[in-house]
Amino acid sequence: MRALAPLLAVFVAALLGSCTSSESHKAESRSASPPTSAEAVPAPAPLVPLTNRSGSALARSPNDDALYLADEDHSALRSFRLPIDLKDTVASVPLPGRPAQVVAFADRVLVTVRDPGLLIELAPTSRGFTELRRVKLPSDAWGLAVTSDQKTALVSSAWTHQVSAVDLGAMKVRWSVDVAREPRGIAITESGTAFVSHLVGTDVTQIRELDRDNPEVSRLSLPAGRIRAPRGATLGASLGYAPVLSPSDSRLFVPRHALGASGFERWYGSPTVDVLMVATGEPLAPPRADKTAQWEADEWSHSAKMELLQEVDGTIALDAPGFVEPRAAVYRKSTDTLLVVGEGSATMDELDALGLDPSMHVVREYSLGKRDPSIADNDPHARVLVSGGAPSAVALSKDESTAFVYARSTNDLLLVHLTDEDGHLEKSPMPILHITDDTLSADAVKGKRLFYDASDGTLSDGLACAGCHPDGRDDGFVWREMGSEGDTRSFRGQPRYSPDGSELGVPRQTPMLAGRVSAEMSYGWHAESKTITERVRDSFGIHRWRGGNYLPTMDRPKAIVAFLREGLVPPARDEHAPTEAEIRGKKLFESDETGCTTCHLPEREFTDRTPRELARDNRSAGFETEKNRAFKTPSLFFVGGTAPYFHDGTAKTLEELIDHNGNAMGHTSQLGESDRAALVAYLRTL
Amino acid sequence: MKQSSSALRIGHALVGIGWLGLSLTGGCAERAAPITAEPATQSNDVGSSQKPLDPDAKEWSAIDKVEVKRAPKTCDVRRRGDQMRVHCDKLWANGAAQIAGSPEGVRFSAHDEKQSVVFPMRKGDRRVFQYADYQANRWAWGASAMMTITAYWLEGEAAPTVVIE
Repeated sequence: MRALAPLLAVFVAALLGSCTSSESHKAESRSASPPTSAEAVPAPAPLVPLTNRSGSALARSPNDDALYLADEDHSALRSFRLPIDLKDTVASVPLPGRPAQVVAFADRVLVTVRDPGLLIELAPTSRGFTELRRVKLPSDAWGLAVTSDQKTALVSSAWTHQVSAVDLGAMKVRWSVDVAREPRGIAITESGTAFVSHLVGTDVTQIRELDRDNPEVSRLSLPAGRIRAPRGATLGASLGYAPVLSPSDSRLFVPRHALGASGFERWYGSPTVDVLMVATGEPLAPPRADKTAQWEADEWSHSAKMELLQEVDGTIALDAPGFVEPRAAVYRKSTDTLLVVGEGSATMDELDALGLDPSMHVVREYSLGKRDPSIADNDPHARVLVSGGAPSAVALSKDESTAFVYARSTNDLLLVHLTDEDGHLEKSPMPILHITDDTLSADAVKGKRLFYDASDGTLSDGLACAGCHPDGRDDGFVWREMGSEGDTRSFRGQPRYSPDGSELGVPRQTPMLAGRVSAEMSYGWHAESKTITERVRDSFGIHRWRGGNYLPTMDRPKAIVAFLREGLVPPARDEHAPTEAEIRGKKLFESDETGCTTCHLPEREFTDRTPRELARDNRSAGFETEKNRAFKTPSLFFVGGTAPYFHDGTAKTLEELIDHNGNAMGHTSQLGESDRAALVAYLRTL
Repeated sequence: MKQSSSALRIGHALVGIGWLGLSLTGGCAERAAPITAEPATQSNDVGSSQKPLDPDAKEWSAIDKVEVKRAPKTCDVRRRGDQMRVHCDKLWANGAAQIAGSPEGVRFSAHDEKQSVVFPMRKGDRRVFQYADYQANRWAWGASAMMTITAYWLEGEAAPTVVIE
């Protein structure tokens, strides 16, 4: 790294220059403002195979001389010289926004930037690194993948739910297509079929004919946790961050969270790796057996042939794998295993990639997180991590003997020794390179580690805040709150029945947090918490099934709230001149005719935070009918991106909500079709 | 760090079928696993419909083991025609369940710590079995799984795949 230092200094200078120059912001080709550093770049070299055509926050150079990190929390691109020397200074360059993923070429890197939405190309020159080109993309540019001919990059824009194709020759957007909510990771086969996983929902988006101006977009059904699902149930899914193709492109692995999957003491469901057969577009895993056949040895002595015990209609709960909240994955070719890092569990699980559900076949689990011993001494439930927290990216060394893991909440790069093909593991300490410190307040730094950590026994019982609120957003899921009328409230992800067969639990759609928690007023569906801090404290009890009491050794609610307010970044709003429909919608929204602003106060995040009786039927199919009909007016900030709507998720879209509202909330029954559309258009701008 | 499982994989094995003049390679979709040749035996004939053997039948021991990757030393997998047996020693489970796939033709046996399961293995079959500590949890709440066996044979693949945790 010492040898690279002068070069990187130039890179920093070049980037700083470009970031402050409006001219270079506009430039989408090298001819825009000559002379530019881009002109110094030699003609494209012959194609060098990439180490990974799918982006990640970590990428290893095909030359095996550098590792790049898209450091989202510090809006920086970082570079580590390979082999890693812990004494090296980490080179960093600022970016114009928060980066998400990077792909490394032999002579340059591509990096996505969330806000403003950008794809930036950077290259090494004789003076160091410099920005070559950038192209503007729909806001919240996140996932990145490159075609095998290295001519096209696909970028997913999460909040704006689009996928764009960028011609890497001209560095221009060829097309953008609208897809389902929260598209994230992208994988492209050698032959040019792209798959996009989503943070919300079970379907995978397939995009074919990438070279055409009008690509073929379809949604493939990929049931979540099919083998883990209660028999006959269809599960929801979340956290589809990182699809991975097998080396032969025959299988697409989608690590994610199966909402409502059965599992031993798994109220929240189960992590899973769902596999799609690429050739057929069908799921690899079969459904649960119609009847679960069980055998039992006829004597405890095991001395005889097993006898068929029974065929039951119920579902045997399966043990869940150790990782929680899968965040990134990579295929290890030498062992045919899949390495999946669990953001919540601070682990990396090595799974047999040939399993029908690889998460059922854990070959080895690597523990990555180290806890703070001083806190643990005082509070046995505390597990505040001091290193290895929230692993968010993984890349392999060239010989696949080491996994590089980026731990986001503690800002570390971990060098994890992997087992060899015979299963032997080098017994040596895991090298840890601390990259930087957070600039947040001390409370928020602690809150950041807790927000991503599923193993703190006081805060939760197995799932971190980020498990349901990824990026501080929502999982699009309607949970089941048990005991809402009593003292011991708890959440479940799957149906629960009373002895008479009626369903238990009231519906609770996950609310978005980012940008919605600044008010010092009431929170909770019934405004039952007087402040956000109180709400967070109450949530601890609901999420860990043990009531509201907790050990007060550390002020966790205060820390969490500090992070929610300082650390979570709301989605960027689409800044544009308002359309006629949006102007009309705003007038309608603010009019006495509709009365929307009676409760949705624009100056207070579009809510009066006051519980009001539901004017519509209080019954929700599949749930217990709630006696308390008064629900707090929800904030409308970012409402355009948080479907479904209502506490029970009964309105799947804003259009559906307005169309069926009538006069239940305000007065919209008199609005014609175009006015309803205008109202929706305005709501999407909030 | 926890070593938690091993995996058996017969898909990578080269199963010689000398008398037919055929060989089956790499049934699973992936590559890179070492290919291990097995001696040709009539008992490994694929597609034959011989009389099913009991899990404990002595004839199984005469059938060649399928060479596998990450094989636990205490387990072996053998295939005879369209029947497959997974046998493990020192497995203290006292109950077993089939989680997915057709239960037709599936038979378990247990003798002390020796556990066997025999099941049909034809193209298109996909099954998941689980051995568990039945005594501790009873099935109603969720058994503590001790071993999970996945066995399948996809259309278009030359041989079946078995993975054992």
